[in-house]
Amino acid sequence: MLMHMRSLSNVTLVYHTFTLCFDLDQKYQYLPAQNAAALNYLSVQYKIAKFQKVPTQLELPASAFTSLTMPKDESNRSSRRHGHRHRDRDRDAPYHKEDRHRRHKDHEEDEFGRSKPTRRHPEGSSSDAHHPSPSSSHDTSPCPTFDSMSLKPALLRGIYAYGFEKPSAIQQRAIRPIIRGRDVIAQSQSGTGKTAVFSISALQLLDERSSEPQVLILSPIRELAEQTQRVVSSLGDFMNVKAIACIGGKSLGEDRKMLQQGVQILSGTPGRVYDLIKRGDLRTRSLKAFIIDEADEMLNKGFKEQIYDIYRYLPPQSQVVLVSATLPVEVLEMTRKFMNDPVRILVKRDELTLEGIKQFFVSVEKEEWKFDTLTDLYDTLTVTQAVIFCNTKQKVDWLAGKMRESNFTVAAMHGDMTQDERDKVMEEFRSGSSRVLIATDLWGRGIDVQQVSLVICYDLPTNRELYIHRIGRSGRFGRKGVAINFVRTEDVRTLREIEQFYSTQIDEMPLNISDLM
Amino acid sequence: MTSMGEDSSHDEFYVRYYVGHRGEFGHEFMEFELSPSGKLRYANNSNYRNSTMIRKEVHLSPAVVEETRRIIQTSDITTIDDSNWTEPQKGQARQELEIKMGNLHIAFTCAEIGSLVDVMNSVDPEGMRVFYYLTQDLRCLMFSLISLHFKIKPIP
Repeated sequence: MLMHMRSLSNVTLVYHTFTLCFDLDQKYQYLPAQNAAALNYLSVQYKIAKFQKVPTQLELPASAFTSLTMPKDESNRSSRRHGHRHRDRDRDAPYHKEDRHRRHKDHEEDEFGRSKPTRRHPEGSSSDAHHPSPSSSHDTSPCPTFDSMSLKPALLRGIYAYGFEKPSAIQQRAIRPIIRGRDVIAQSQSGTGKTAVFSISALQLLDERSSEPQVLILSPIRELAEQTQRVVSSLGDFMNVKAIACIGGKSLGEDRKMLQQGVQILSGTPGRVYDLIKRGDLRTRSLKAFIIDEADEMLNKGFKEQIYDIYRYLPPQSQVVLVSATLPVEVLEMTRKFMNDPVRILVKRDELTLEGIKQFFVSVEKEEWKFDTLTDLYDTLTVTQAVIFCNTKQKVDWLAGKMRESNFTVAAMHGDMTQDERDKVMEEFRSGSSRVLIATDLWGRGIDVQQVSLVICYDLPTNRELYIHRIGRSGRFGRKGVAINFVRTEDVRTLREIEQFYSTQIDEMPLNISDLM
Repeated sequence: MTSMGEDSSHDEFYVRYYVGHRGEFGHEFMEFELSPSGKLRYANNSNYRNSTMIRKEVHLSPAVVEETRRIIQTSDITTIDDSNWTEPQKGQARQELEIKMGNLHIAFTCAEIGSLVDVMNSVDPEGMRVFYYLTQDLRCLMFSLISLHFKIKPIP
């Protein structure tokens, strides 16, 4: 554990540039095998207790039985009846919760209803006999290359053609357990290849001979769902795969037509996807995997019920995969309700910021001074591409208008614009013909434009997760980035709290920031 | 100051820095401590959305400990007189810096410094500036050491 430093003469205050050789590979922040096994064992007990309503030694709060059954039981029951009525026709009905959790029958129970964690995972059937207690370390030990992941040759070709050479840390660890059919919770820093994790896994899981929908990917933002579909299609370029995006604001008829022609992987937003399921256009019976991108956002109020509505239609044996850069403990606790013994690959909050993204703040004291500060920075912004975040749609419109009045060229995007307008802004920004984009948090998560090297928080984000996502629009896949926060006197405290929470450094801005990009 | 550098390997060099507050998310703080043995202990606590305490420990080589000592010596913090500094108000975030070096034992307590404006508006801008930059340098060094040791490179 002793650290050796070869020479102290190179030490400057930029400690990030230390080059010490450690064998870091084995230390990724998933739970140590023992703990994970203990935790999983607990969560299994918990679930059995919940769904079979037998007394266990685990003490549950009196309200747990009702509060844990996800949203409203009433609507749930009625739609289930509704579903049964149509089961004869070519339409899927929601599965009973008991069905979904029939998988837990794989766990033997003793007379107290406690489960014995013998498992059924396909890859482990032979080894389980020798190792009755499960260990997750087998699944999460890193795969140093794509070649060693036993992927389909055509998929491997697609991966290299896409430009990937070496898998990122999360790709080394998360792809294999997903392919093996495990439920997986995968967290990693922004821009480190999470989309590729589940895209590659989805393509590997796919039975190319079947034209039934087999993988469903949900995203909270339309543009993100489209981006994901493009990644899946590109990676699957050499495979016989049909992937489509189904999002609100686009023609429903078009989606239905494509679904009729046969679709294997579907990337969409919850509203449209649920609509297609209910209409019977999207058949869920062959779904193998349900992937929830930006999972913490999707399990927040507003999305949670929609996710559950869709979840009820999944076949019992399908797997669930959650992915995000931020996964608050509060959300992780919630996953016990619908995931089966998940492999959890997590990052501690103090390891979540990227070295490559330098963070600064400008103390502007008053709101009125932000605008002048921004115009002073404009020449720096246009060096590559920049995104400016405001907290409301009105403010985006106001700021964009005011910038244009002062003869600065800017694009703007928020949720009140029509989908056509949004598409146009996205296309111009992706192509590089517009270089400065003012946006709401619609743009906060997941969107990948590699040329973005500067993010400005004109307003501080409304929660700590969003801060990570916003600054993560720059510094994609190992690139450098800069984030600048405009803080009024009353905001400084909030910013310092964010800084402390993530054990990171947000310095007061120097004058030469263009050298850092 | 130079005399301290000479017998540096014999004294009980100790550094501790704490910044934190109590509020909506419990007692949120970050603290690190470098003991004479070379053991660096670090903690970060928050109950934000059910978060919990993170603790990490790592042993530093004598070279790194010496570098830490050099940073402190060249900062002139030992010449600072904090008798006029205002104590942190109730509800305000507070900072503590404790250093033992040679026969010197100093301990500072003050409110968290938001920005350089706070430094300039303080009773003792010169002293506060020294304190502000030293704590930033120490944090930078300790975070780097901790993450070097524990963090997996997300892009290898």
